[in-house]
Amino acid sequence: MRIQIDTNLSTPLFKQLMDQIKKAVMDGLLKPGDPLPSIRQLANDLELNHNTVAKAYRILERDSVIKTKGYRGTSIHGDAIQNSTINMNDSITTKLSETIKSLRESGATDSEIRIAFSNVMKNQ
Amino acid sequence: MNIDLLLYIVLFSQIMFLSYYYPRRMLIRIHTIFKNYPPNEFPKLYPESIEKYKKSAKRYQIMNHLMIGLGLGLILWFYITPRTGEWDQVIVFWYFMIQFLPTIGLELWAMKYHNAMRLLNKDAQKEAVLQPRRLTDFVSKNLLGTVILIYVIFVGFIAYVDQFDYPWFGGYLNVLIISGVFLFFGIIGYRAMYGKVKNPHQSYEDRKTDIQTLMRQLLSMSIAVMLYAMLQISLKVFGLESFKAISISLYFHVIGFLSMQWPRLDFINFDVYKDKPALTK
Repeated sequence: MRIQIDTNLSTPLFKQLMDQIKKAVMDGLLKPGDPLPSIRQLANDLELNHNTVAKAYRILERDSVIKTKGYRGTSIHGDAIQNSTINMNDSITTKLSETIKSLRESGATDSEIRIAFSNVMKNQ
Repeated sequence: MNIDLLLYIVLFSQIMFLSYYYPRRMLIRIHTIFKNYPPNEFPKLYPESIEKYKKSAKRYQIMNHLMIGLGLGLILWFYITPRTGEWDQVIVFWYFMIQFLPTIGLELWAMKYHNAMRLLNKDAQKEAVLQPRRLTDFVSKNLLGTVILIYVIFVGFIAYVDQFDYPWFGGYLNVLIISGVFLFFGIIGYRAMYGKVKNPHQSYEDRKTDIQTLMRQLLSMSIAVMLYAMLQISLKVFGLESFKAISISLYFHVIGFLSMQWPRLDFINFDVYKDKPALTK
């Protein structure tokens, strides 16, 4: 299974990496339990910064698409197929839209929502 | 047979093998690439002018001719100078170190060549295989097991000889030195397997072949270095020190032979060096 990234595209490199791994899972090219290369190997092969690959792996791990087990390395998660269909960005956008809608309905202005959102993010 | 005569024969063989036969095969390989894969058809193979590479090849050839001259001079010097033979091994060792300089030069040239290739590489698309590389993908478990077994035998051998309290014997320092050599080989192997891509155009299959060749060489050299160390100690124990210079020369033959394992040119995918990379890259 080969992966290809394009440094000319506007899509961030870590996103290209994540999308292709998820697509490979959905297409059945990567199956649960299949081992993945280490961050160092993949970063060097793709001539990317290690942090870029680490970021993609971290998000995929958070989404339970991959799992990392110490010396045994990284592999495809058992529930990767269903988890690859979930787009976290879409999910966040939907939830946020609902919240903003309900805040507006309760009388909050856009400016107040922005300030409150910014304050909450800062305090997290 | 006279030991001195045997030394001259073995040393002559070392000179011809490492400074004539080995570079000749290397130069044939380089010139075959120049001829069959010219810059107009394979521009990515030549990040700099082919004339520059031809000059480097010529320099390599001249350096090896100098090594032949130096080696033959050494044999002549051995022949005409009365000597005890005590320093023969050291002299043969240092001659090999000098004899090896053109090969080191070639390695440095290869590093510069790949750097130039990377600097000129404008491909925005990068490709990788989503599969972890493991040592056993490149070398058989049998070879790996043999290296481990010989290492255990080597440590046992050192422990055995250590009981006799020979004043000249370095004891476990030998194990430390061999372990240091292994560490050095390990770093080379690790960099080849997981390090940065040296040649940005090379197909993944060719890269795997290169890694496999290197790994086999490193493991074979590991076996050779341990067997050689045990032989050297044994020669000293049995009072056969006069054979040490011959044995070190034979060892260098083995090292040269192991370094000469290159992938066949017709198995290499040269299409990747064409202007438009092949889809199979």
